[in-house]
Amino acid sequence: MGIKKFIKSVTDYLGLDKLEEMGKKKSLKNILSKLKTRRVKILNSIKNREDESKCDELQEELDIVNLQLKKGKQILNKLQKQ
Amino acid sequence: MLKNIFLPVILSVLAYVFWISPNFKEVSAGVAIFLFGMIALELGFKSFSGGMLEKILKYSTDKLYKSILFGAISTTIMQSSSLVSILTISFLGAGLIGLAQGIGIIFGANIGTTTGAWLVAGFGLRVDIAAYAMPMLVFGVVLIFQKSQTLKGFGYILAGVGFLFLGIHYMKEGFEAFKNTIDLSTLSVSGLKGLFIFTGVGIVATVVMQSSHATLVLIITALAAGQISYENALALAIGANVGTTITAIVGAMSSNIEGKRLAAAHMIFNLVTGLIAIIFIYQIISLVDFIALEIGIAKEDYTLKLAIFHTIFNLIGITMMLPFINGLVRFLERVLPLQESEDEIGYDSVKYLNESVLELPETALGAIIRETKHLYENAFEIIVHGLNLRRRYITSSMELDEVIKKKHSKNYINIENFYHHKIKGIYGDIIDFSTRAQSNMSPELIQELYKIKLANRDLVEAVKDTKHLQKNLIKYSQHQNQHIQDAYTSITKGLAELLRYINIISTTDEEDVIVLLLAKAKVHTQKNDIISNGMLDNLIRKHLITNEMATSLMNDSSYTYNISKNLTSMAEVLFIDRQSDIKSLHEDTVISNSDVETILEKKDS
Repeated sequence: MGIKKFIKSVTDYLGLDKLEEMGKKKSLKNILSKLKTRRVKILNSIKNREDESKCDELQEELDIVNLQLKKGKQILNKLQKQ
Repeated sequence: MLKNIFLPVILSVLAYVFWISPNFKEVSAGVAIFLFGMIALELGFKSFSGGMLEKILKYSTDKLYKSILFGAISTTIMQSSSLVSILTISFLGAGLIGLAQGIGIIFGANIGTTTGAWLVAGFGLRVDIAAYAMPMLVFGVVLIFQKSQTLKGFGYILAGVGFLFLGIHYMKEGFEAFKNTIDLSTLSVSGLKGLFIFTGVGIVATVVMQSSHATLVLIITALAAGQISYENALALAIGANVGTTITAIVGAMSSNIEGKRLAAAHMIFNLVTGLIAIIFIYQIISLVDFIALEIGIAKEDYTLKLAIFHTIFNLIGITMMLPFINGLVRFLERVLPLQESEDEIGYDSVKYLNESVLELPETALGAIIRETKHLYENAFEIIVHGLNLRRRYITSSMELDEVIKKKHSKNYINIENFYHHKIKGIYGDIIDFSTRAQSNMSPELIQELYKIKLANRDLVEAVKDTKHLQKNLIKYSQHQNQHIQDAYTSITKGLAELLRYINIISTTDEEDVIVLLLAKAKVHTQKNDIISNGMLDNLIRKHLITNEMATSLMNDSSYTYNISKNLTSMAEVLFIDRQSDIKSLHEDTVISNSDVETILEKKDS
């Protein structure tokens, strides 16, 4: 058995290859929760119309956050299925 | 001239002494084999330094106690404080660790090196280690001939340890045989005079052999054979500790100022420790006797007592110097300051690229990333000033309309001049260094390096495009045609906003902020493109600008678009920590051009 094959079989046996995915999932969840908090803040700012002139800018930021959340959730689902 | 005759003279003298004294020949052969073993061991560990060693070093040096622990453990395993010193200097030179952490590792290495004395005194002299050496050498050499780098590395380590054992064996044999012919112990000198003479001999021996470890093994084997007195052996050990700093000094020659500071710290530490040991030698001897008695070491077992002495005086040195590490850092920064630029603008040069890290792929990549960030700093400054804006207002939270009103100076700066002083040289050096470092890198690292090289190119292109844009910016920013003036003000404002995003991305640790701002930067690049947003069409259709103005605006919108695009691409590569999970996730979550269009369409509707 080649040394690479040996290392792979040991990491497979100990389940070490999943550590990387777990780390990714954790990071992704962390970012998603931060983006959700930001989304709530933007929505509140738009609702309260704290600054009329910035409404456009906030809406654009909201669209970006929504898109990021959507993409993030898709990746999370994919990682969880694995 | 002197250099040319030095080597033949030394070789001739050695040949003559070998001819008249076969025993000396045996001891010298032992030293030579031992040193060869250390070289093989270093080669073996270096073949593993392409990742594991550097990663461990990176994560084990964020606190002072961790640095000391790392220095002690790594030196114990590798049995070479020199290798650890050189690696530390490389890391420091590449800007991956601070001077205080570097000093911590060196302190730790001084503790780690004492384990060598314990191994030789406690194991090497009591067991027939040549019996272990032979199979190690055979297995080691067989592995060295394998294709796999990992097996090769193991082979070098195994052969290295085998040669170390064999060297010790020959030294031991040589001194034993010496005992029957000449009694070197008659040359021993007692009292303070002897202490200083033998400390000097220890320094010279270590400088010649470039290894305190080899000197110490020589001392222990000579002591075990009764060829030197216990007191003289202690003085030799002190000398070996001082002499070892020469290796670090030689290693720091090709390093930058941080590496030189570390080598100076190493020398100061070992000199102070040596001085303390000489002054309090009799008190330390009493302490050694006491400890030896407590742990059950025989009164006449001077070799183990020497190991205790070596450990104690290094520990005393560290305990005494530890509270002064920050003071030592400040002192070294004052005595060895950074060299300032000489002329008006100042030719800036590379800060983190030095030859000593070329052989360490991970460290080399780290150094290239740091250097690219340095290039970014310069490019950012040139672009901001090239647009006649002030850096401190861009990096503040001031309203952008206010920011663009506050001019950097009456006249626009000469970007070409700044490009030659602050970009071209560094960029050239980064590319040259990357090409050379690449030869030691794995395909994965080469892939990462390729992206960094692209980020460098993006920065350079952004500066060049700013230079092209500047011509018309100067021409039209004060033009009597209000429409063209407004168009160029809009371009400046758009770029100011983008520079603000990039600056936040470069300074924040918040990953969600980075992800969000990178997306925003992309949207803004598209939004501020005056061709796609219809602004140019509108100006032409309504005959608000001349044809010449329209052509200029069209070209400049292209430069602006490229500046934004290049800076955003550069930030994507450079400012997301390459070790973090978010780096790989970002590649999946990155906003595409169609996403940008969707957002902008939604906004327009």
